[in-house]
Amino acid sequence: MANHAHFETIYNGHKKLVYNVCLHYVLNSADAEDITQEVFVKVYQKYPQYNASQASLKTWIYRITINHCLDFLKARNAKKRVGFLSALLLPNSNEPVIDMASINHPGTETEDKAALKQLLQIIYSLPPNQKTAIILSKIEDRPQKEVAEIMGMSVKAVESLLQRAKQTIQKKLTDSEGL
Amino acid sequence: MELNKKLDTLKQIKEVDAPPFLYTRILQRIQNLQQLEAPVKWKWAFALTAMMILFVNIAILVRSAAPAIKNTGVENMVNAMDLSPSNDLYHE
Repeated sequence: MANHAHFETIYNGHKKLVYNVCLHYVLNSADAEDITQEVFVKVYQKYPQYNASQASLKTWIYRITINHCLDFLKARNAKKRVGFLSALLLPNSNEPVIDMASINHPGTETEDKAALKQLLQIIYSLPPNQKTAIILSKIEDRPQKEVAEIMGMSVKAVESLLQRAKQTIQKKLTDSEGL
Repeated sequence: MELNKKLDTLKQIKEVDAPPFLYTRILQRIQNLQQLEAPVKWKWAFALTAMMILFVNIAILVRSAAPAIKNTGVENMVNAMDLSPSNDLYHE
C-alpha cells in the first residue's frame, strides 16, 4: 500500500463492519478481534491488486472478511473433530457445533438474549453459504442484490440459499422446542 | 411467518465498536511481516546464483549429448599394424 495515512482512512471507514461481521460468524469477541487483525493485514497487502472497476471497496472488504471467517471456522471445526472414528460413527460430525455458554457476542445484550443466542447457535451450524446469506441479509440487513454481489452469485441463487437456510432453522427450532 | 418474525429479532443485535488499540496491533503485524521478508539484495543474489547453476547444468548436458570424437587416425594405424584392439593381455 502507498502510505499509512491512506490505510488508516480505509481502516477507520471499515473497522466496525469487519469486526461485527467477524463477531456474527465466530460468536466470540477474542477470535473476532484476531480475525479483524488478519483481515486488515490482508487488505494492506492486497490493496495494490484491488480493482475498483470490479467491485466497490466495501464489497471487496466484505469478501475478504467472509473468507477469513469461514477459514477460521473450518479450522476450528477440524480441531474439534476427534478423528476418523467420529467422522464414521457420528452422522452430522461435519456440522459445526457451539455451546450456548461459549457464545460471547457483545451485541446480543438485549431483552431476548437467550432467544437470540439460540438463533445464533442454529445459524452457526448452517453450511457456509447459507450462513453467509443469513448473516448478510438478516443481521447485516443488506439488500439481496448486494448480498448476491458480495457472494458472487445471482439474486435467485441467494434467494434459494435463504429459503434452504430458513427451512433448516425452522426444523432445528422445532426439534429444540420438542425436547 | 412465525420464523420470519424470529429472524427479524436478529436485527436487534447491536453494532459493536471495534476494540481500541486494534489499529496499533495491525500496524505491528504488518511491520513484523515486512521484517520477515528478505531484502531485495538477497533476492537478486539468490536469483543470480540459481541462474548460474542452471546455466552450468545446461552446459554440462549439452556437452555430454554431443557425439564422441572419433579417433579414426589411431584406428587406421591399429588396423594397418594388425594390432589387437583388445585389452586382454592373454587371448587366444
